[in-house]
Amino acid sequence: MHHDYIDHLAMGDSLAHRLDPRAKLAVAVVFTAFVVSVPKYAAAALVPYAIVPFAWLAFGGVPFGFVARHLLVVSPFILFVAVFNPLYDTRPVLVHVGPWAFWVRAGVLSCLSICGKFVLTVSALVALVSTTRFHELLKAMAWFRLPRLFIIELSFLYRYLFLLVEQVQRLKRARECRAVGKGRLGWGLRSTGGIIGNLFLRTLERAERVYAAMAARGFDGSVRTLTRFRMRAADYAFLAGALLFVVALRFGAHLPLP
Amino acid sequence: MHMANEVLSPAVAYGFIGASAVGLGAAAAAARRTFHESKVPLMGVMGAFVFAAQMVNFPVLTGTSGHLGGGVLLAILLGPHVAALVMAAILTVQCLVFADGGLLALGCNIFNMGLVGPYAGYGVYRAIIGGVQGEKSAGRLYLASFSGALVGVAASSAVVPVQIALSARSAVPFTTFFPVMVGVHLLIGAVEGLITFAVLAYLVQVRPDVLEVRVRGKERLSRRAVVGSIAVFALLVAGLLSLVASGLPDGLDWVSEEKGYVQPPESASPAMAGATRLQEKLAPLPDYSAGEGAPAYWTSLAGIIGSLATLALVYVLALLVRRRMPAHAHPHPHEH
Repeated sequence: MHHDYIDHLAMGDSLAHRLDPRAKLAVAVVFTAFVVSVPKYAAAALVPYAIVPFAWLAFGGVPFGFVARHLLVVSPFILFVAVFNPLYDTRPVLVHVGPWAFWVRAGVLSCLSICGKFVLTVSALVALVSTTRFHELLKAMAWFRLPRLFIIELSFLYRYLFLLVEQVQRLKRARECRAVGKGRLGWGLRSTGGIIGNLFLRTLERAERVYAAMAARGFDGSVRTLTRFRMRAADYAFLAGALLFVVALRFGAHLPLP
Repeated sequence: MHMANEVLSPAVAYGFIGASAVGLGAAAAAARRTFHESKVPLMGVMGAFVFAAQMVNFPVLTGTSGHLGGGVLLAILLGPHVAALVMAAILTVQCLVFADGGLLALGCNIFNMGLVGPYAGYGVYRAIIGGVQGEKSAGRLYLASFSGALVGVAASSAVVPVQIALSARSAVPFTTFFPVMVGVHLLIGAVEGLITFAVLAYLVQVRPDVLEVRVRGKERLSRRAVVGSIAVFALLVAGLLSLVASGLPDGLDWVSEEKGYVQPPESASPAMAGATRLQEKLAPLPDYSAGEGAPAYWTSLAGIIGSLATLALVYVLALLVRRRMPAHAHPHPHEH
């Protein structure tokens, strides 16, 4: 399952993994914001932006096949929205590429631009989550003053996710063992209701036990960890380099050209 | 229906991040009245529950299967405020652990699936089931939960075309996109409704106390209930089709143009035109020009070639660096 794999990658070690999570989160957010703000028809202008996620993924040792597969998994919605642009936006535009010039529909440009932004922002997000462990990301979010309760909720969600996923897989396997030859709508529905309802009750009871155990150990609503963030020279270099690069691309390139 | 960054304009993305933040703040304040702060762990664990429940597939027809979204089910079981907070956490984890849904689009996603879905669905559920006093018939519980889940899914999908139209990134007309999006999600919502009721039917049998309302008798999911739900669903689809035929979406389109949401470039207001001009001025590598006789730029080709060369250089550099580093990826298992 690709979900397990992405988390597995975050457990690795590389130059990108060792960067400060705060710097990585900031770069991913600012990069996404800049890419999204590129005008609707500027498709070619997006190409140089690829350097940031590409370098991040390359130094993080994230397999490019994995990134490509992930892009495919999440692409149907975006394709649906973008693919009809050439049909509806038929105004002709003269595009100059180097010494060549040709007419295309404006919709082709906006379609390419949507797809390009999709590849760029999803790659940056994959780069962030596959080189950063989730609890470090949460700590970085806390440093950026996101609501404390929301971060505690996220940390519990993540902590119990793998446990409940295993449990649901056991329940599903049990159903498959009993369902040989059975596949009628009513039965499938009733068993789905049973599995989910059962899981809900078990989770409710588990949450009560967890809360009682935590209360007994003095849980007061805040989680303390030993992780200390420290910005090293490499972190400053990454942060400044990536931010200056996107700012220069966005605002510098329209300076009068010779 | 996770929204992506690139179909949103920055203004819409930031606007909905703000709207979601305000909405979640209000939900947290309302939840705090019935829900002690120390019970936050329960909400996290419930988020994990919804995640796991989404993995239980339900065979609809041969080859296709549906699964639960969970927003309205949670709203029925734990109240809409808690459901909104749990759904927001789920969407954040989907974004930050599994890279599903864009970073900037998270505001839109939380707004659609975390706020609109649970609140709209719960509203319909409560409208049909009535007050908490007295015993309810199983049929009523069935109708309320099915309609609630259906409306919750359809309502959150209905916001997506509005956000996309406001962003003006996609050229698909609102009048086409809206019925397609809502139509597809009526189908998905019907599956959601069936599963939601199936879960409630199970809970009524084994632990009636987890539901706010008391239900008369022991309800098993009957063939009659399934047939009935298909009838309700068919009515809704027919209703939507007649709306499309009567041209209501055209009316919506008229409203959005009247309010200045979807502005054709010619008739843009001075402020919008100024913003567009500014944006065009800021565009790097202005390599497109409408009309003949416009000067040709060499920049764009040079930019593309330069970028590709840089990518190759970065790749070689990264390979060299990684080879020098001892590759001890320590796959220690998750601390469960």
